[in-house]
Amino acid sequence: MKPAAIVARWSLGELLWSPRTLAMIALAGTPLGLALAYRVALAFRMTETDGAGVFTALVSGVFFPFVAPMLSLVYASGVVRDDVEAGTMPYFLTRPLSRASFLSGKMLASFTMSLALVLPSLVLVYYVVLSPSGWSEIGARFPNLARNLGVAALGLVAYNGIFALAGTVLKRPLLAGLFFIFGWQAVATFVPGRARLATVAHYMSSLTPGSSSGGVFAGLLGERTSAIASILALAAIAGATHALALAAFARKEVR
Amino acid sequence: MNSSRWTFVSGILATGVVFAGVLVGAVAYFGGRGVSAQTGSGGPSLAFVPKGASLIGYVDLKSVASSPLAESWSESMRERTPFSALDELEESTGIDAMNDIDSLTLAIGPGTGKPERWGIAVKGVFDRDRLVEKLSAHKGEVETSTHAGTDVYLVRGGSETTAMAQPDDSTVLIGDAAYVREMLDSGSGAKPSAAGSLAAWGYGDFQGETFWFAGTPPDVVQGLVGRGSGNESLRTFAVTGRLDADLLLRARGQAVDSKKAQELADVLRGIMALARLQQDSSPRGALLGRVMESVSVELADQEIDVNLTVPYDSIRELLESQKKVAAQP
Repeated sequence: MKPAAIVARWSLGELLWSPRTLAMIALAGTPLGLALAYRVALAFRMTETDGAGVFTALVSGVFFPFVAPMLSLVYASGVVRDDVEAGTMPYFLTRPLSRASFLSGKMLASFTMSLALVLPSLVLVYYVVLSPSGWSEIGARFPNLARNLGVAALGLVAYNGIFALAGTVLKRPLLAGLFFIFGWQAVATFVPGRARLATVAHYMSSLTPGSSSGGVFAGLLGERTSAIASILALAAIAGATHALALAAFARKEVR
Repeated sequence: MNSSRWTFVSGILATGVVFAGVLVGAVAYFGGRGVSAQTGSGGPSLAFVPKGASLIGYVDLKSVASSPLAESWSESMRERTPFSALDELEESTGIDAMNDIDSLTLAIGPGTGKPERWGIAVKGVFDRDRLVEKLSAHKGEVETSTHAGTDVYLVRGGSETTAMAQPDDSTVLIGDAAYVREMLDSGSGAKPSAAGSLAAWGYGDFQGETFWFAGTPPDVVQGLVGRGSGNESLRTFAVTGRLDADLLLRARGQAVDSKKAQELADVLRGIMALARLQQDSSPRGALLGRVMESVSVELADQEIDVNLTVPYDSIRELLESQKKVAAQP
């Protein structure tokens, strides 16, 4: 097994059993809780909103702008900081293991963790809210689910790179990450010009037309990015930030 | 069980949930498509469209009838829409549009777009005797003639005359008398059909689309760019619609040159910007907002490509709001 894969496997076990994972399971389960609340409301005839609308609202209002970046931030920002703060980093660096393999394995583990929490939650929410509408509706809406799963995976890999880079070069990556999610991304969507092109959320919303809360304003200020350009942009962000994180870690003086 | 095994089990569980969900969804989706294909119309009746038609259109009514759109189409809504014309059709011919008809293929003849040169090939399951009986009982005057071995019924209502013919058990032709005769000639192979026109226009065969219209554009579109309607901007156009998870609409146009294509794209973007400004809190404004959010205008050399998505929920909401407005005294 390659060194990076060994680190990823070990790191995955560590992340799975870390206290923060309980909080992250709760975070990833929030949309599921809301979906169950919708089912209860539906059972008691407290709402007439159809499941497809609820699914779209949960994806555009909870999963993409909040759950996906927060999970990535919590896991990816700790790829270096966790071991520095725990004082275990010097032990890893004395092992017969390159820095690139170490960080690659850690980043792979953080991405896998966020993916393993977001995608199953997305699938479960889909079935919880759409099952009352029947088999045909589940089938008719399946392209939406497949598209949202793909967009979520692409968005997560981009966020993973950004927050891993932040975790490698910054002393307080969590604060910087929170500013990126709730400050920069939230504001850039509504700012005229090309500022929104420097956000992950813009490309994710461009890939899911009709499910972006800031889409109306983005539409007023300019056209959304095409699907191919959005995929390429997310892949470029992911590739560049992961590469920069590896380069920064290779030169970083770690204590 | 040690932590390594728990990690493995957790991974299997997460992967299993995603794979099972995707598998079930895919089965429901492709199963639904299979049912749709079995009940589908089998494609347009282009053989009955004479060569040289300036506009050809097709509507797969079977797919429309089995879509979520049809489910939300209440009877009260039908009364206040052009679909009420389908009820009148049933009364005069005995043809139940939503159950008997599989598809409509319509054509407008060449020329300046005069309304009298038109015809529709209606495909479905028809009772010939009942059709003749209904036509005989028609309030207006009905004449019968024969063309290429097929009976042609001329139904006169006021100043208008509509012709009807049934060349085979699954096809009824409706239109102006001269054009219906041309359609019969095309269908029998005596004259060339428009089957090759679609390929010549450069839009493919529209496989999988629920409805489409293609041809040379009307004057109103020509007048969008340039100083007058005489200033031709578009050679051909095609509008297609697909009833997928949402209603997917696509409009394409072949401009006469790249400059005209750019100008037309700019005009369309301007119209969209104006439409976005029309958004308000009313259901119509909200629908406009959601539709405008999905619009994209792309330009590739001389071709303009406009795509938009209309969620079914938005259509339902709009229909409901119209119903409420109509119910108000």
